[in-house]
Amino acid sequence: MGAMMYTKVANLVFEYGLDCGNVPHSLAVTGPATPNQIAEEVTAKYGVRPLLISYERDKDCTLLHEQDTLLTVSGLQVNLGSLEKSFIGIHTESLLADLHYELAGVLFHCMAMVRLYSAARRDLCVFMEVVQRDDPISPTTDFSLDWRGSPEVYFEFDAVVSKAKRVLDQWRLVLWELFNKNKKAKDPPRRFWKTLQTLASSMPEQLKKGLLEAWQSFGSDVLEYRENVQHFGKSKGLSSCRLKRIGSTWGLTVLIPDDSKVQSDRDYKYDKKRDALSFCWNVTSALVLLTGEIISAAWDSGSQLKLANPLSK
Amino acid sequence: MAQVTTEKLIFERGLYIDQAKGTIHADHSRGVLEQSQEVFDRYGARLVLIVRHVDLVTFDTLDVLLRPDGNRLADGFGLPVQMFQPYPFLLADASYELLGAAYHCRMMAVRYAEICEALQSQIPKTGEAVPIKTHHEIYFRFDAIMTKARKLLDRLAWDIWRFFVNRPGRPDNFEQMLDDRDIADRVPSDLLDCLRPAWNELGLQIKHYRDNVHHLPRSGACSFSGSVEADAHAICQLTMPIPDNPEAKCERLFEYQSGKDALTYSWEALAYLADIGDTIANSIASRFLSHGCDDVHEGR
Repeated sequence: MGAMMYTKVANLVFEYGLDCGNVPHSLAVTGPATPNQIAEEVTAKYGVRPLLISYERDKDCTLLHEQDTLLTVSGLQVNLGSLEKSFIGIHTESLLADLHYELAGVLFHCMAMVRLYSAARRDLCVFMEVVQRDDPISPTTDFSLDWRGSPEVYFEFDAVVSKAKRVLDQWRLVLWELFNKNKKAKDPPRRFWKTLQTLASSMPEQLKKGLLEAWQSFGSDVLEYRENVQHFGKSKGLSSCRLKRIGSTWGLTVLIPDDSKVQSDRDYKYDKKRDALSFCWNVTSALVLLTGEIISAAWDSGSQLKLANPLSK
Repeated sequence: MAQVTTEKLIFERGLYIDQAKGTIHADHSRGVLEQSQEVFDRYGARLVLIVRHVDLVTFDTLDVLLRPDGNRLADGFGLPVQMFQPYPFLLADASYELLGAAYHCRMMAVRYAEICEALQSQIPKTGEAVPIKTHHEIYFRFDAIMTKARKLLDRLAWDIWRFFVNRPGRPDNFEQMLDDRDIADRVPSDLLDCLRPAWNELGLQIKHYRDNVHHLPRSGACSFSGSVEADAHAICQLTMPIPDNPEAKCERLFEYQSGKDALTYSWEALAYLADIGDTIANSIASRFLSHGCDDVHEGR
């Protein structure tokens, strides 16, 4: 089937849904440059990190799943197409194939969230322009705003944490297959953290360190938020957002509860101003990078084709 | 004066009419109803989504998700205005979940049309189905819709419990609510007569799909594929299969003989759930207006 590569950048989206260029409500940059140069300049000047590159689609290009590319924390570029390529050679009924599906889901919903932020921020900027024109004492610094558009961001947040939890589930099974030395223990512990502890002595040091850091920085939060989304309060909690003054424009923050363990939306607190997109992007970045290390470990062990999922038999 | 324009009509299987181009050999200068009827007559596909644009800022989507009967799918469940103040929580969570499921359904419909548009020039115009393997994003939306749909049912069960039963020990989910010892005594029989078949016909199936999403390996999703076919006019139609028997809980036992499609199933299920929610809302409103009710608690 015919396909063409994407070459022309349509948009570069940063944290808080910010973008840049010579159009209204964008961050100012010095001139034409590559996406990497622009990203570096904007990060240095405004302290916001680049999240997504959107390409213009040529009408002959059929690779829809490569139109948007997420930039990870470490600068790696990943999209649904490149992710699929990183799993080439993996048996379609293996644990790693399951891992691919769930990880692609995280990536997909995270990128959808970036696009929502970008479009919503632009709408809110136009709205603020009208407000400031009509009301000279309207706010010019960070402030909260009731905004009915935020549920869509929360719907993507729900989907990201649900899929991220599934990735942790798959990690648990894959790691057990790769590193469990106790052949009497057939199944891994049900908890991810317990599985890590059990396998700690047999895992490569770098992988172990990465997984422990991931668990501590977001792993337990992902599980708790997902538990909330599935079984308790709604993640909506607060149908409002905050606008942050960045450069000469506004950035958008949609808040998630400070404490992922609180199970009632009446008790949610938002004092830490925890941003839904920044959280999901950090999670997605880490899941992509660590999954790469897990795949490498599987190739190194030579067992990637034997990792048939016991549950699918 | 704001100018609202219709940009695209999206039908089942990703068929679409771009209002600027009229890509499906329908006369796009005619009204939405006429175009919709023309597509249905030609392809047997119903109108799912009207994509609209407005030339000023709006914080709510203007796109219209329709129901299979052609009416607009509501954003939530309504109660009499007298109930807002004492019971703001009633049906609020359920409305939120309906909105979430509708959002993912809209996004799914848009993606169907995008895939059909992108593949239009690539698929042989023979009417033969060509497998495609790279569009898992449709299944990500399906997963999200089933997750929201299941939660919607459970939230509706909570509302029934709060309003009609209202004692500690709230059931966790819809199924438990129907099995509770007090339900038959407290809930109007005509409502129960609607809820039990609804659970058996649809609720249980949604539960199985959702449980598969959250608890079963999904390697099958990476191996099975959708298919696109194009007619002599290069009009593409996309089918993304979902299993007929989600209760099998095992990819190897799943069957796909009925040609069940992810978008059509999700969309019809959503409309059915909205009907169930409306029935519950009407029953609650009716009881409130005839008997009053002053002791409804939000808690578990």
